[in-house]
Amino acid sequence: MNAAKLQVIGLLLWMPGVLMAESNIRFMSAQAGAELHLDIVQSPLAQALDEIADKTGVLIHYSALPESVVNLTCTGTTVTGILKCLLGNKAGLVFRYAHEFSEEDQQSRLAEAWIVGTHGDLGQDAPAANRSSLSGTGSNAATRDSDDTGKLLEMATAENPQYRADAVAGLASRQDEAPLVHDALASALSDSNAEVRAQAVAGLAKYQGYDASAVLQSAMQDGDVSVRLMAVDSVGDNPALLQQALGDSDETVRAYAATKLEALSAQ
Amino acid sequence: MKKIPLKPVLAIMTLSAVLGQVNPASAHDQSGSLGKINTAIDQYQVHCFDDGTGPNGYLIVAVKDLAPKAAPKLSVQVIRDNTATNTTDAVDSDASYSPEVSVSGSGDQYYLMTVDKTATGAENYSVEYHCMTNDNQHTGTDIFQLTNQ
Repeated sequence: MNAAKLQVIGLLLWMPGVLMAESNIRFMSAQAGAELHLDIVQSPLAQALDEIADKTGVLIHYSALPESVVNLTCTGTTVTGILKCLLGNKAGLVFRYAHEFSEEDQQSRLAEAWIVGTHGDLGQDAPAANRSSLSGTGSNAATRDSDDTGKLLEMATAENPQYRADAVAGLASRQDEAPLVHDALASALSDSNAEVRAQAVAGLAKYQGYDASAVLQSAMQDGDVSVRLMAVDSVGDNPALLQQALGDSDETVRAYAATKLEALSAQ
Repeated sequence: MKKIPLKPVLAIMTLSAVLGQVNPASAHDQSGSLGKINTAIDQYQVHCFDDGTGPNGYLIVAVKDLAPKAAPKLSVQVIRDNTATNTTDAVDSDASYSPEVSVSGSGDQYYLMTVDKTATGAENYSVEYHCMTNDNQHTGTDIFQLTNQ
């Protein structure tokens, strides 16, 4: 097993990993820009906070917390969003970001959090909009935290192309924040970085109520094979677009288009 | 993909005979592609549930590296709780999938499935996945893509 593959496994097992230290608390995340999921079943709030701290490396400080157990599911793209979902409006939150990173990095460099001024039952009445189920599909599984969307929109214009790609991927799941999200995705189609453009193509292709045929057709003319491949990947049941890809200069694109056409004809 | 320290992988188990017992009409496969950067991954959440056949007992998975023939090797990892298991298709563009791997589950279960490759270069793949009961019957299976690169 090579290093790259072990790194993927390590990534998924470590901080952004699927780990279940306790059987009734589950904190799962994928790579930056994708979903974080927190499931708590009949567990004390302190235990959930310890689990988040343990898995993310963020130092979380708290003193007196309500002793009642919590039942909650939260989703988000940042630890900040998860904490806000968990605590609702029943506690003050103070965040410290790693000082060596710039403003545009802050949402992914949370270093420390303090929970202050708690009152009432926490976690029982978190905003319904933040509740999510792991069985959700598409945009239904994304948090509606507008602060996180705002940060993603900022990150979509970051200098670092990886941040931009992660942000565009994250925005693609926020279908209910249109038209700002749609505009950001459309703008990313002309990004200088191919990975950003590819994520924009994928995002617009699954944007509800939006006909992405023109986007996909244009993306199939992109100079980068990754963008063209993503365009083919994003084509649904449109054989005309796939036929277009059969004439691509890259064999991988042609082969994938042929595979999808074969699958369509078999339906 | 961020670079992080490695951790040991705990393989659970590998089965090789189950596929023969699976009803072909119930098979699930997911085709996809990975962009040219070496760190490109696709991630899926597979949900196994009781569709009336019985509760989930395990998930079996295999991956096939599709044409054209290229340098990168394709692999799929399945993670549930604190264990991960991996299988790699050693031969590009042949008719065979990688060896199957099995990850145990219980009842209504979610698994994280990641497809990745060993080197730079665009790749096409097909992943076959089956949610099975403990008496080797195909049961309820849903899939949702989390990451598409």
